[in-house]
Amino acid sequence: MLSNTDGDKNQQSRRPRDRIRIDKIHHPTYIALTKPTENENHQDLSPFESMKNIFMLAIFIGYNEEKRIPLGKDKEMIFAWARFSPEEDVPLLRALALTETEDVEVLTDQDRILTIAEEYANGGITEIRKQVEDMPGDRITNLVDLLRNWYPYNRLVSTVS
Amino acid sequence: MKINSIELKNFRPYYGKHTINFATDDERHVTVIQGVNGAGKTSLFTALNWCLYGDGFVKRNIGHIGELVNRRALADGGMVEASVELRFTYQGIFSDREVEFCAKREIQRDLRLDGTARTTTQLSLEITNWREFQDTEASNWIQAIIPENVSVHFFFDGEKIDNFTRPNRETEVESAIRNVLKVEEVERGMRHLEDVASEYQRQVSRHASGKLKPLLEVRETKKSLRSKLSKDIGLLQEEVKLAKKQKQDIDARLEDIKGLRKLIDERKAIESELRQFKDQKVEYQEQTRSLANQGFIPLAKPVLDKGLEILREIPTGLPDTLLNELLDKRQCLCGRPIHDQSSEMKAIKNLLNQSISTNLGHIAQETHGDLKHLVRAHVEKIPNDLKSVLSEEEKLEQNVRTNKSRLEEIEQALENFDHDEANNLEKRRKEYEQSIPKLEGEINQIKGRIQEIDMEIAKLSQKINAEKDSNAKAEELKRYSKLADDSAKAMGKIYELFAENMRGHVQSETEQIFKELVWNGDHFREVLLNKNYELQVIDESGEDVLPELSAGQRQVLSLAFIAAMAKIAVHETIPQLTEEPFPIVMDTAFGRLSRKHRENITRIIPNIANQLVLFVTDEELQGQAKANLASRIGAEYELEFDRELKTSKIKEIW
Repeated sequence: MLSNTDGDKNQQSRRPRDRIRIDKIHHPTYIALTKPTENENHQDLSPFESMKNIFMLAIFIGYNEEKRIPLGKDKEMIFAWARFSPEEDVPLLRALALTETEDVEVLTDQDRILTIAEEYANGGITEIRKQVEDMPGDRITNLVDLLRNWYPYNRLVSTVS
Repeated sequence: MKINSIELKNFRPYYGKHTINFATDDERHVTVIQGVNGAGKTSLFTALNWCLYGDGFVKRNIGHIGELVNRRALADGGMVEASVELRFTYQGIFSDREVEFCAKREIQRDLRLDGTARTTTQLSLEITNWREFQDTEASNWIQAIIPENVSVHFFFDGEKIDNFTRPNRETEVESAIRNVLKVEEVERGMRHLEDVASEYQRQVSRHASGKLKPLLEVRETKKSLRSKLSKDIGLLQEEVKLAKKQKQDIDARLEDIKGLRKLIDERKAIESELRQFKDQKVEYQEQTRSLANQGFIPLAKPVLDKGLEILREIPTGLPDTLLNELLDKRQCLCGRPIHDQSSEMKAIKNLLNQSISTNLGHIAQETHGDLKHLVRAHVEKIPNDLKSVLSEEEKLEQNVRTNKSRLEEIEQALENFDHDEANNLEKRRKEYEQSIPKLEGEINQIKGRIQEIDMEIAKLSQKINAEKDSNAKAEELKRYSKLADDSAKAMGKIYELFAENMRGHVQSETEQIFKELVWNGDHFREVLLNKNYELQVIDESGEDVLPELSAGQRQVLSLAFIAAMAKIAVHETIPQLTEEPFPIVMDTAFGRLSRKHRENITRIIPNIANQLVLFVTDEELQGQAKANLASRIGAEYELEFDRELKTSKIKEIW
């Protein structure tokens, strides 16, 4: 894994960062993937229900592809920490930070948790854009095809053409 | 304003400290300070002005400020400090009571071995029992109490005040009236209102951009287009409805043709099933998307495993709060007391070193539980659920394909059926069948366009509202501008009336006082102050004799003019501008005046000023003039100059 800025360990007394940021250049991808497309006779569903879901998938695609890319100067805030579900998203973000730092203290450091997540999402989003948005065909089918690249989804290959 | 005392230290000829307490009693408010020429009268007068107004006064009247320090004190060597401390009372700040001020100006002069000197000055102003100010702030306070341009008309050298009465001195006269009688403040108010009006006008041009009308026109065009498109949708929907009705009618007629009923019924059933499949497909797509959106959980399996592994290694000992409590109480977990060097104490400290904070422990425990749940409940389930939804969807697709294939066979059979009417009906049915999705496509396209127009209208409406707000602001600013402009004009009229009124008052008061002061008052018919602020003295024959007045008469006229302003300032200005009376301090008060004039002035002036300080030579004030003042004198001092020591002393003689 590429090591990188994990936030400041000494800043826990102040209020933690609350907004989730992405590189501005990827903002149009996040918008396009949450917008339905118009067809001649009907509207196709957007492949993602929310930007939060894109962000979460981008994190773990980035992690599995070992792509952790620090954010550039131009950033865009896309949602607040409160959008993460406490039962699924937050434990996963904590597990990612724990895995990355092997430092149990990171569990109480929201800034570091977010920074790690944002950098992996920054690495994973390009793959999502290429395979879901840029590929021809139905985008939900493209999304399923993207998942099929990874365990345990690759077991689905045999059943679906 | 009343001056209570002045204290001089090493100032000019005054070596060491010297104090004068001025007469402040309402009846006896005259202070006489007498001394021969060179005894230190002008130095005392300078001390008063320097204390209030600083080096500027000295530079204009004496020269270098280093000259202010007493020479004997300088000869003592080292750093010499000279100072003037002036105590005065003034009511202008708090209307309910008089406040005492103490202004102190110091100068420090340090003579270096090489003969050069370093001089520093400092001003402080203490408002008794309230605050103390330094330098610029102190100076601002003093200027607010008695501005220097006003003080020159109250603290003056008697021999130099005939300025007002020399030819072509109308500017000085006008400026004196404006400064002392605060006419200037009315004028300043008028200028301020004019500036305010101009500023509002500038803001108006910034706010009124003129964009509202074109924006409203564009929005109207968009609204018209939207309305037309909505009508188009209505027409197309009618066409769809009609096509469907035609299809139903054709089906009914085909059913009546012998041998076709079974085929038509079968086609109806398949079409109904296909409609259901369509809904089913949408449902499967939503399920697929929902599962794919949670797809990151199984992808996070390596992170979940690693996270759980780390969390398992976290010590799950006793919480740090409990261990700290045991240490504080010097108590073992079993409740037994323990001492500092005991093995139990060491064991507790050891546990504390290995433990993590309660909060962190809680989060770690919670995360551990959540991760285990995710692995158990989601990692396998999500791909399996996705697999089964995709499988169901595939089956559905298969059914759709089968049904569509059967529909084609039925169509083929109907077209080939040996019955002309049936063939024609089927042909027409097919045309309707094909037209319906085409029409529905058009409807969807138009709906999409309407959505875009709605967004454009919403954006335009935002701009229009902002523009309306801006225009409303511009209108408001226009009203303010007009109000300020009208007020400035009104104030201009007030200013003209006020200035004219003041001029008239000054003229009549000057005339009255002049006639009382001058020994041959009957010789002069009137004193005029014309619109150009030129003083004129008209004699019995109607001639302006100002140029022919003697020096003494001119001094008396100037004094009359100053006394007139002092009187009006207190009694006759508009209430808000009423000025507290200032003391009159006259250096060389009667130097040029004849005996008769002195007698008149000493009789009149104490009634005009609320405090009078006269610096006189031993010859200036004697006989009837002195007798006139006797009952009003509250303090009298004599200045003595020691020729050997070259220093002055102040001696109290009353």
